This record gives sequence, structure tokens and C-alpha cells, in this order.
Amino acid sequence: MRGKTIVQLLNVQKTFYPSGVKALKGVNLFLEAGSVHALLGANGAGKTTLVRILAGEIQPDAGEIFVDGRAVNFRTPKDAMRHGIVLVHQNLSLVEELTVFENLFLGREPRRLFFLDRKKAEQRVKDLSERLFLVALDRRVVDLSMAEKQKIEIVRALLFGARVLLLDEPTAYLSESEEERLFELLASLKRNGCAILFITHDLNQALKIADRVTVLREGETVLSEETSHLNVRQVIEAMGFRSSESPRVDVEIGEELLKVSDITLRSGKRLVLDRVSLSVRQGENVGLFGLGNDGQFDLLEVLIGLKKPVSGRIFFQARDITRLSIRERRRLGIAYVPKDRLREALNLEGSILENAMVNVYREIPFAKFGLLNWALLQDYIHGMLKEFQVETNSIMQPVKTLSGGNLQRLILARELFRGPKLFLACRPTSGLDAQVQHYIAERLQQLKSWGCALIATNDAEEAFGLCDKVLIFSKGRLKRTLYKEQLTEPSVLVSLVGEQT
Amino acid sequence: MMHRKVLSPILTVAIAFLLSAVILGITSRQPRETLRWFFLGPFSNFYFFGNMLAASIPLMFTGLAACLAFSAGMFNLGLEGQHYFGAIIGTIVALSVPTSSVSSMFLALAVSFLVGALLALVPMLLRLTLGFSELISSFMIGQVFIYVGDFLLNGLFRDPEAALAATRHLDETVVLAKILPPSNLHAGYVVAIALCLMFTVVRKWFVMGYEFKMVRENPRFAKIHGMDVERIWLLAMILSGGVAALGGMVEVLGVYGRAVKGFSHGNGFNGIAVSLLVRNNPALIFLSALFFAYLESGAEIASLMVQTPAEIVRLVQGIVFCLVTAEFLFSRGERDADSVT
Amino acid sequence: MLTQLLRSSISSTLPIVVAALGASFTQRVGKLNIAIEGTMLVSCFVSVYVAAGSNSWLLGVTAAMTSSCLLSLFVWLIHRYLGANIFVTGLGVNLVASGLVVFLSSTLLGSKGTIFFEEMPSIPVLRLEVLEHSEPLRTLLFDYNVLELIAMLVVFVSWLITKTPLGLRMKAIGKNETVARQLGLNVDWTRIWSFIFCGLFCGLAGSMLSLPLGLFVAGMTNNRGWLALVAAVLGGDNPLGVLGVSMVLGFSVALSNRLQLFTTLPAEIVLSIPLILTLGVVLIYSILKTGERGRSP
Repeated sequence: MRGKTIVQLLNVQKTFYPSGVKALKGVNLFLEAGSVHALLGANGAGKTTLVRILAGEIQPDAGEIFVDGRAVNFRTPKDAMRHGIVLVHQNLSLVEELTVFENLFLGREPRRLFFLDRKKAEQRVKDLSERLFLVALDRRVVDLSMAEKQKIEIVRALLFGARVLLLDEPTAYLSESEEERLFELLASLKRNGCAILFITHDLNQALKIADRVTVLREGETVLSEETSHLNVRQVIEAMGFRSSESPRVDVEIGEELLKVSDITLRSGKRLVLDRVSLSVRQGENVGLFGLGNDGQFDLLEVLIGLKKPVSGRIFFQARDITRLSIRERRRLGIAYVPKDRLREALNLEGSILENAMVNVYREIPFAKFGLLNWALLQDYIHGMLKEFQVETNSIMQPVKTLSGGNLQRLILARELFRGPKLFLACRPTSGLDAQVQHYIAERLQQLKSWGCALIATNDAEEAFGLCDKVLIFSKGRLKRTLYKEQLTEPSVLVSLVGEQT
Repeated sequence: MMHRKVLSPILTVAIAFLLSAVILGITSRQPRETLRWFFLGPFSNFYFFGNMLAASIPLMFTGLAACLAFSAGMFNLGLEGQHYFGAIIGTIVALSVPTSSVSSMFLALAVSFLVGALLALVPMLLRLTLGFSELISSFMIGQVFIYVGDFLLNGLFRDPEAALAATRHLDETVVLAKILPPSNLHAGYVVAIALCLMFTVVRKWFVMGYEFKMVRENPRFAKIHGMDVERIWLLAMILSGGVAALGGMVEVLGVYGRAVKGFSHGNGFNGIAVSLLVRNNPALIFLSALFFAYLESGAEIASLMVQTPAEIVRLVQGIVFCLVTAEFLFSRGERDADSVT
Repeated sequence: MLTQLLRSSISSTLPIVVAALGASFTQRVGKLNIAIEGTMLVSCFVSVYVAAGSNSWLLGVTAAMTSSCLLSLFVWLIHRYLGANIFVTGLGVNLVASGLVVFLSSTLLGSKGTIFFEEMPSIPVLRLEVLEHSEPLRTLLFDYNVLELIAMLVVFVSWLITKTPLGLRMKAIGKNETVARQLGLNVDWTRIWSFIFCGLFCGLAGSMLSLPLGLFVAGMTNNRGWLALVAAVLGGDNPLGVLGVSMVLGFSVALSNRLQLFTTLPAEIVLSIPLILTLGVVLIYSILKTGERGRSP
């Protein structure tokens, strides 16, 4: 039964500092008891920021939040919990090394004298688990599947007395059958009067299970409507995928540069990549697209040599490079932009120069007999940064002083300046303004005349805007290939993922 | 930013001085005399002054050794063992191989370097292959070899005529030249300064220095961009152990003329603080080594003149240790800033 | 002979395991305190000095535990509030301790060498008069002094602590601080508790070394603090694991004491035996662990 409104947000705003990004520009939303509410939006629309505000993890700059009709001000997650609002993170907040039982009660252990009152605790779980079939309490969380972990988080939230559940991309790491079970669980919670808000990228899914859909676009509510009144078309329009008109250069497709056969990668027990094979030719920019973390990023790490696959071979220009070191692969003309820009792509302690020279420093003429030629390096880096329009006062300054857009240009400059044959990049345009995005698109088009690129992303706009061909990944498997003719607009990618091939 | 870098060490030194003055003042029967000898003793004549400079020589070596390990983000706690045992083996080899004076000196130095490097290599290999913390294993291996060194000095290689556990004297021609007789100051001072400057140059101008810095600041970044992080860590530890041992050997060649039981008396450990006090800047190691040597000579002179316990210096050094990595002017706000990524 | 060796292994194990359990509390919250050696040394001194002065072993132990608690908290405070590196600070405390005890013994007692306290309060010893007919059993089971009995109790208590909410929180904080904070745990307070436990335990361990002998020497901890650290690191979160490793190390200490008594092995070699055996334990343990990891990827 749909009930009364529990939570209401009015004109909530949030700007992040020091970057100055306006994540939320005025969002309105209400959650009713006994209903499932889906929150949709393209990457960077402010979905996660919104739920974090609701959960008390960050504070809004302006706007009001009402719970049961009274204005509230959450300073910490505890405040939100007190009102029965709990956020289940995408990267779950479980201590993997502890048991299910310990995780469920961590922080609010029922006690008898000084000790854990196991009986009382078990009784409490039992009350709940009549509805939610639970896994054994004494298993360690690390041994559980993603779906089971998620269930534990939800059970914990209920133990804490949650009546409003916020789920941040709950299906990101789940298999299809696990997804089904999660939805059954949500349905039963709904029947018990919980209000559920979940973030998703998958609009078919949202329309299937939600009672109401709210769409955010660039920090604003653009659509909030009962599902029964909506169709896929309307939602996609509201999400406003921009088909960025980046100049597409058509070049002659050349020789095969990269051939990957049957790569399988495991992380613990999880199958991250399942027998992936692909081939890329010169002149092609290929996107690796998955809605979440579907193995596309891991594939790039395998290709550059950071992760060792369990089986499979990698050929670059017909040469088997499966066993080569990272340095040797780079020397062959493979460039790589990792996903985590601040921790992996940059050394934040270092200067701009030190960050920019990392791919060339050991080569003649920059280094002779182990001695660095700083003057030459500086000239070279100056030229490189100028060519890629990185604005700096002095290249000796800490790299931290650069803005986000300039940092990304710096990273791309470093990897692209020497004309790599194969360019591997994770989310190269994420979090950048339109101007920089356009610029990167241009660079990638130029690259086609001598090499090729593999771009891993979970952003449909990005994949659409940069690539000539998109390979769709789902749960570590290569599901299907979309060629240029099929890439009519970004939403194609999003709507296709759920469909069976 | 700059203030913080300079002020913290100065504050550390000031607190150390203040505390030693307070402790001496309270415990001594003639506080005024004691304080005078403690603080001014090292400057009262050339002999004391030269000895103070001499005392800073092994500290420069071990300080540089610690700095080498820190430069690649590693922690070498076995410096004491490497310093001590390396020198003992070097001395023994020099004594037992009949060669000309100059070549036996170089032989001793080379052997000690190798021994020290080996002692530092093992804990690093343990860490890389088995994942056991190099912190504890380097300390324990160092400690074992201090005992083994003691054993050698007390047994097999003890000079039967000596009153204390020590080897025979090295030939007069093998030892390092004295600079400021009758004090202990010897040519090793120049060698130590030269090595520190060399490493300063390497850090700034060489591929190795750049790679060390990148590996220290962000090993993941270094690895992604093709550096062989494990090899760099091994290299840093080998050099660290080697230089520590070299320091011991120079001490033997310059001051004692033979390996004496317990001659290192904490130089290895203090090297860590020496390096940290100047924020691991090799060009300034001579300064912090001098500071430590000053404390040590002051305490020694005071105990000689007014019978204060010389152990006070351990206390003060320990306090320097405790505070040397502390940030006195810290800002709390940074952590709270929200960030998008 | 064998039973005697076993009996003395138990006696050498107890101080190690108590100190190791103390260290394992700090290890559990992810902030290993490496000042164990120094903390124990200070407690050695304080316990005999106070016990001799007040003629009460209980006061001696209490004073030792208090002083080592203060040292342990000192490490934590310098690390937490002055942002110092916890390992370097720990080393510093070890150094301070080694200077402090000699300084204190020379100013308070006028000697830097071995100090015998003649008027020591006697420590109660458990003597049961059953099972008299079995000689080996008697050697093995009797004649534990009250400190050793307390130590056994402490092993049990620290196992109990891991079963309490506090123990659970410690473990959670060490494994994943971010999550612990998200769940609203008071990370700072939990860590302070673990350092307090560490101090209390090390104080007891230190008193166990000096009180029964009624003497003090500057080197009397003899690296046992470091052995305890190894036991804490290898034993991990499980107090029984810590106990297991400590028993192996205790055995090696007992063995080296035996060798010193009954053979002509030089003292230096004998002193290094526990360390060498400890390294052996580390090696075997690590190889087993990586082997396991290799088998089940």
C-alpha cells in the first residue's frame, strides 16, 4: 500500500569546493512509505550527491529536508539513521574479514554485562529473517557473493530501524539472477511499508520495478512521475543524452594492431573477465562499454600488464606480448590512462614536470649514462604542454596546483604526444567540461591516422562521442558489438544492455 | 609550507635541548657546572671540538644509509647490525689477507659494504617474496649479527693480549689520516661529506634519483608507468646497508684502528633520527649528525668533568626520535574538505 | 630433564605472551606499537624499585603497569595529535627507555650494573600438595608464582575481550577504518583503549621478568619485547594464535637458557638463539601462508 510521504526535499543545492563544481542546483524529491522510487540520470547528474545528503554524509548548501513533515538538519549519518534513513553504498560498507553476524551488529551490539548477547541478537535477526531468507550468520563476509553482501547491508539497515532505504546502484555488481532476487526483496520491503530510493543507470530496470521515477540532469530535477505514466522514450529524453557533435574523421582501416584471445581474469573467486576475445585495427577507436564495472576497466589493466590473466593471449602487431613487462609494452607503443586519475595517473606529491616526464625520462637524449638532462627535458615538456594547451605558470610547481581539466590534458599529453600505436584509456573525459571533452575527442580522431584506441567507460555519452565501434560488456562477458551504423545515439547503448542477444 | 618544514626540526632541537637542561639541572649536584660542560664543553678546546666532529662521522654514514632507504620509501631498522657487523668482517678480512696497505684498506671497505648490503637485502627479499614487514625482520637480523659480531670479537678473532674484546690492531699504514691531532678527527669526515653530496647530486640529477622519488611518493604510479618498483626497493636497501657498514669500517679505520666490541654504541639507530631531523635531505645530514654528536660529546664531557650519568644522552636522543616526525604546526582542516572524486 | 625444559618453557612463554597480547591489541586496531621492548624495560625497573621500597609486590606491579600505560599512551598521543610516524616514535620510546632506566638506576640507586634488591617482598607461590607421587607432573604443574598465575588469567581475559563488543570494534577498525567510521564507531576512543591494554599488559610482562628475581639489569628484557612483537604480528587477531607463536618463542628462550647453563657455548651465540629461531618461525609461517594463497587463487 502506498502511504504517506516520509521524506521531502525542497530545492536542495550543493557546490563542491575547491573544484567549484555545482553538483546540485535545486532538487525536489519526495519519498512515500511503501513505494519504490528510482533515481535516474546521466553520469555527473548529481544522483550520488543527493543520496549522500539524504543520508547525512554531506551537508547541503541550501534547501530543506523534511522528515514526517518536520524540517531536519542531518550533520552526520547517525542523525539520518535516527530518523530511519540508511544509505547502502555501492561499495558496500562491510568489514570483509568479520562474520555476517559481527557485521550486522557492529556499533550497536546487544549486551549482557560486558559481552555480546548472542541470543538476543539472534532473536532480532530471526524476527526479520522470516521475511528475508538469510545466509549463515557465522560465515565470513569475504566468502560471500556480492548479492549476499548486499542483503546483509539491507538487513543491517532494517536492524537499525530503517524505514527509508537509499540504494546506490545496487545492481552494479550483481548477476542477472541475483538482480531478480534483489528485486523480490525490495518488493517485500515495500509491502512492509518501507520507502526505497535506488539509483540506477538501467532505465528498463527502473521502469520495471519502480513506482515512481525521478530524473536528474546537471543537478536539477527534470522529471518526476509515476511509472505508469511513462515510457522509455520519455525517460531517455529527460535524461538528455547529448550526442556531442564531435568531428568524426573517416580513415582507411589499416592492419590489425591488437588481438586478444580468450582472456580470463579472476579476482579471488569472482570471474572478472570471462573468455574475452577481440581485435582492433589501425584507424579504429573502440569503446568498451558496460553499465557499471563490468570488466571493461580490468581488461585494459590486463592489456597494459598490471593484471595477470589466468588464461588467454595478447598479440600486439602480431607479436605475443602476454608475458612482457609494463615497460616493454609501453616501449612498443602502447599508452595507458588509468581510471583513478589522482592516485594512479598522477603522483600528487610531485611537480608538473616530474609527472609529465614519466614516459620519456629514461630515453636518449633525455638520459645519458644515467644522468638526466633537465634542460632538454624542460624544453620537451614545455613543447608538449603547449601543444596540448595545458596552462601552467611554471612546470616546476606541484602538480596539485593544476585544475581538473588541466590535469586531464596533462595526462593525455603525456600519453599521446609521442603518437602511440595503441591508446588504452579509462573514462578519458569524465568530470571535464564540454570544451575539454571536445578537445579530447579531436585528439582521439587524430590518433586514428596512425594508431587505434580502446576506451573503457560506463558512460554512454562518452562511448558514443568518442568511438566508432562499441563492444558491450556485461558481468565480465562481451555481449555484443555495435558498429558505426548502429550507433545512432547514446541511449542505444543504455537500452541495449538489458536485452538478451 | 616553508615555515613548517624549517620550524618543526628547530622546535624538535629546542625541546631536546630544553629537556636535557632540565634533567641535568634537576639531577646534578652542581647544576651550573654540569650545564656549562654539557653545552659549552665541546667548544672549550680543539681536542673536544675535533672529537665532536669525529663523533659525527659514523652518524653521517648511518644517517645517509637511513636516508637512502627512506628515499625509496623503505624502512631499514637493521642499520646498527649492518654498521657493526660489516665493520667487524671488513677488519677481519683486512687482517687476514696479506696485501699492501692501500689495497687492504680498500679491501676492508669493499668487504664491509658487501656484508652490510647482504644484511639489508635479506629482510627486503623476505618482504617481497613472503610479505613479512621489513621493519621487524631487518631489526631482528641486525640484532642477531650484533651478537655474532660480539662472538667473533670475543672468541676466534680476539687479540689475546688486549684487555677488552677486540681484534688485533690494523697496520699503522692502513688507517685513515688524522686531521686535527690529538683529537680523533680523521679523513673519514671528508669521505662522509663527499658521499652525502654525491647522493644529493644523484637525487637531483640522475635517473635513479627520479625513480626513487616517484617510487617513494606513489609506488602505484611508478609501477603503472613502467618502473620496476621491486628492483628499486632492493637497490635502495642494498645501498642503505652497504653505506651503514661502510660507516662502521671508516670508524674502525679512522678512530680505533681495530674492531672493538660495542664500538657502534647506537650509531645505527641514531642514523634514522639524523636523517629524519633534516627531512631526509642528504645535503643537510652533516648538520643533524653534528647536532647528535654535540649532544653525545656534551654528555661525555659533562660526565667526565662532573660525574653526571652519560646515559642522559640516550634519553635526549630518544626524545628527539619521538618528536622528529611530528608536525608541530599542523592544520586540521584539510581532511574535512569535500571532494568530488 | 625434558619436563624441566617444558616447565621452564612455560615460564619463559608467559612474559612473552602477555606482552605479545598487549601488542596485538594495537596491531588489531591497525596501529602496531613497536615500543614494547622499552615499555617492558621500564616496567622491569619500576616494579622492583617500588616493590622493594614499599615492601609489597602488588604495589610494584601496579606501579609498573601504570608507568607502562603512560608510555604506551605517550606513543599514541604523539602519533595521533602531533602527526608523528608511529614507528619512529616507538623507536624513540625504546631509546628513551634504555637511557631512562640506566639514568634512574644510577641516580636513585647509584649503580649502572646489576642491582640486587636484598629486601624484596616474597611473591606468593602456588604449592599444591596433591599428586606427590608423580615427579614429572609435579615439576610441570606446581610452583607457579602469583604473577605467572595472573599471566595465565590475562591470556584468558584477552581472549574474552575479543568476544566483547569492544574487541569486535577494535577488529573492525583495524580491518576497515572507513566503514567503522561510517557505522558511527568512536575510532579514537577504541584505539586509546587498545593502547591502554597494551600498556597494562606490557607492565605485567615487565614485572614478571624482574620481580621474581629481585634484581635489575639494564639489558634484562633481552629482546623479548621484539619477540613479543613477532608473536603479535604472526598471531594476528586471534589471541590463541598469539599464544601458539609465543609458546614456540618461549621454548626457544628456555632452550637458550638451558644451553647457557649446561654447555660451553659462548654467551653471544646463546643470546642470539631465540632471535634466530624466531626468524625461522617467521620464515616457515610466511612460506606456509603464501603457499596457501598460491593453492586457492
